[in-house]
Amino acid sequence: MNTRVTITIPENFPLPAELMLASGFIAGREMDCVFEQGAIHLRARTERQIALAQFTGSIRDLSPNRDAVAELVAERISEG
Amino acid sequence: MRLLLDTSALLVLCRAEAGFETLRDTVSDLNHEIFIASISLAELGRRVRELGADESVVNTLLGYCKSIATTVVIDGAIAELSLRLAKHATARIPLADSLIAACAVSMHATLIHRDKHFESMQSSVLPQLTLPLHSRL
Repeated sequence: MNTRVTITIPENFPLPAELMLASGFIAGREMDCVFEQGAIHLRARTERQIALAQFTGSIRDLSPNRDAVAELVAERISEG
Repeated sequence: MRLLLDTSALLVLCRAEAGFETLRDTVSDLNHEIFIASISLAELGRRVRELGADESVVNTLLGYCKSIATTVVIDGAIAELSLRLAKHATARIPLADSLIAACAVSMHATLIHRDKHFESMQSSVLPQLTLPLHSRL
């Protein structure tokens, strides 16, 4: 029987971005894992799904009161 | 289905703004082909930087974008197509929007966005899905 857990990689975990992407890990982000036969496995995902999981919500804590989309649209108007 | 994500849709995803769950599930569905316009990489990078992200975060996020979607390069043909699309829009459309719309049309893709400017383009010319406004989670 598998057990799903969530782990958090330390902020200074020494992996380059490309390897983090390949492994599905990124510093400070929680990832779903599965314990199976004494080892830890990530849920099977494609590269697109791993990248999407990391990308989604990745900057929600930055400037939380700013509407990023509204700012983008305003800039497009000003730049014509 | 072929889908092209506007920069506003990318921001909805990475900011977890209204509508992001449905969009995330759609993009995660491997039955769909996902595209972005090359100009969106610059727009997203600038916006994320202005929100306070450092360069390593910006670069990592752009890397994710390129893993999530196929980048459509804006060449001369797409630039000319954007000119024609802008001419037939019912209201003035910013340059970046017209280029992104042209990328979607050239790839025969439905544009996903949260930008009212695209509403000036007929859906028969530019198939599009509009994400809900506001109410950040």
